Amino acid sequence: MASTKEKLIAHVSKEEPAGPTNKVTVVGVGMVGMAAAISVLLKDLTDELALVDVMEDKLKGEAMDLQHGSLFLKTHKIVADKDYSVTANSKVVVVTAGARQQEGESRLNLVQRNVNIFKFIIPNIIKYSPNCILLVVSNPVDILTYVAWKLSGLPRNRVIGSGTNLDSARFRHLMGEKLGIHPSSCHGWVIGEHGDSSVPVWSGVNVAGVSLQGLNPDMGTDKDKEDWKSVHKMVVDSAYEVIKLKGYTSWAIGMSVADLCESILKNLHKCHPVSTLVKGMHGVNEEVFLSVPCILGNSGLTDVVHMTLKPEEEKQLVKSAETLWGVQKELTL
Amino acid sequence: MLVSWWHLFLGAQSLYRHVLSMASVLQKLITPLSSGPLEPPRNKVTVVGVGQVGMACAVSVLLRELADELALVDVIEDRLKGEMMDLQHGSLFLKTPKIVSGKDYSVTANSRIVVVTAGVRQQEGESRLNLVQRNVNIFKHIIPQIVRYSPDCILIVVSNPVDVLTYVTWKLSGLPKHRVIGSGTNLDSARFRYLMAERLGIHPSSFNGWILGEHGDSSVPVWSGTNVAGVSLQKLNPDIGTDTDAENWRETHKKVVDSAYEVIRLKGYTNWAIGLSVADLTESLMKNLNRVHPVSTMVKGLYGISDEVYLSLPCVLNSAGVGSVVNMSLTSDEVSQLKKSADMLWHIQKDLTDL
Repeated sequence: MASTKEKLIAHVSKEEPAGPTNKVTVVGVGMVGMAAAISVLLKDLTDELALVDVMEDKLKGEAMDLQHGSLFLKTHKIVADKDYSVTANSKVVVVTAGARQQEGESRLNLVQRNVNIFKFIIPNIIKYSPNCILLVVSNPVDILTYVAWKLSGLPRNRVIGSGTNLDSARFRHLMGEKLGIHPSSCHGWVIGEHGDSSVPVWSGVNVAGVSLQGLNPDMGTDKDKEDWKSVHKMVVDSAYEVIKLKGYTSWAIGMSVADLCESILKNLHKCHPVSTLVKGMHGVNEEVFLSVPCILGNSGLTDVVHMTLKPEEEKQLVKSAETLWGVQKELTL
Repeated sequence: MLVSWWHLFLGAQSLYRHVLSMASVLQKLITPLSSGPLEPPRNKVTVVGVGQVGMACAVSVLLRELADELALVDVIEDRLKGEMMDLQHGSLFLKTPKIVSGKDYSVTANSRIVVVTAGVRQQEGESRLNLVQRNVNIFKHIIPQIVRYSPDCILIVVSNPVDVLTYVTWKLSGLPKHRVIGSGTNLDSARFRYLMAERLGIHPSSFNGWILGEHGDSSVPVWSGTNVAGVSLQKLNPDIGTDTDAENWRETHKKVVDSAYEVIRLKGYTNWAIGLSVADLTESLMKNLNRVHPVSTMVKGLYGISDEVYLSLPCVLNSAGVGSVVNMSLTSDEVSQLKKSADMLWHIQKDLTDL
């Protein structure tokens, strides 16, 4: 007795079904992980999405919810499991897992807690996707990208930190608001450490190639009447502000992760400010990761754009590097 | 003589430099060409309620590039501002240049489509019908304000129990019935098509199947319409959907009904699928597509239903709202299920006060 399926469909291909061609895994199904997942899905970037987490119920619920939207998507396979075997053959693995700072907890303690989590996660990822590109989002992102690099044994072009991609997006949004222009036409790069001591490179800020600092030489200084410096301050404060208002940030970081995934999966060779190993650049001597403009393609982070920085800007990068190394050298990896 | 001309020239040059340094970066950079008042938005979407469902709808609408302006409204002001800021920080990656929010409905003015997700949600194990009166009271505040600022809009009601609340919305809004739509069984049908397609190894969009009637426990799977490439599954398997079916296809519909409860049990709420389904409806309305969707519409006069109730039927959606309804050939059993749902909904609705 043939089943309905057998009566309806005749299988004709003699080939084994091919594996996924641009699989994305998201580790951690919290707010950031799921925002990244839905952004990747809505941008039609992947033919298979895998989700991993330790909380099994939440993980299964999130996977089901996404699967129920399959009619509206172009991602044929959405899988999820606590076991990393579901992540096999991923092209890009987005790591959003990790602990958040408890009240009164020192940064070093938070880092060590997250290092311990990464000690479990990273080797499991590599075991099943030895040729993947790791995109680290968890904070403090520059340190954790270094940690992921050390734990994974991957070459430095395959370990990328989301870094100041989001800071720069926020900067360009605020710049766009000030000028009445869409952010994609406002160019400005925020580099260095993701967070409080990020560096806005004022000399590069431009619209249609017209340098804004050329029009306003005081830009970025305290004597600037238009107070452009506060635009950067708002970028630094915005994360805290959003967290204070809604408890966490998710949408912007999710979209920025999808933006990076797109460049990698589609081999775009697009330039993004992301966190990479900067030893030997801009006077940095330590093995640390900081954000600089990088070319992203399907083999990961292939090139770094060497920015012409002012001495004060380079000094800031060197200072960040020293602070990061101060934390990193105390870690047990 | 030359000396005085030279001094005049120097004076003019220094004045010019002084004036130039007074101008802002904006003034130096940009020469405005068209002046006059700002154009109103042409494709504005408002989402009422910034809970998980509302935000999933918002993000889906943004990532599908359906709107030139998005407005968010809620009563919890901090959360509302935080959600708006978080979306705005992503504007580099989007094509929606204006994202606004406010407790005051004036931010929603001139919307083409208003998605209502406000209200309390199902607790674990709670049926949709239990939510009714709690949400009716919230709608009495929301709906008149929406219509005040966007009298020409199309309302999409998502809050549960959606069929009752779409009726409530229609009554409170005073809008013609074709401009008030309930998200209805659009999601149930999407889930159905996903689960059926999984069994057959094909993409959900290649499996055609409709779930109509009440969104929830007593939804009606129209087995006679299920097909792939026009091949009717019921013709291949006449027992499909019945208790005697050896392949137990009926189980798939049961899984659809249980889906929401299951996801709520696992993660606390559902949001992604409903968000995607709302964006799908928004696309048909915004782009005047005349696509057919199973959504909740006023069905009095159809299938022998004599009460003013909203149930999901296949509706042709365009920029005017529900353009027309497709008359599905239903079995007498399916018709009686619809009628039973209609009776149950009317039983609840007739006790609602001050509509």
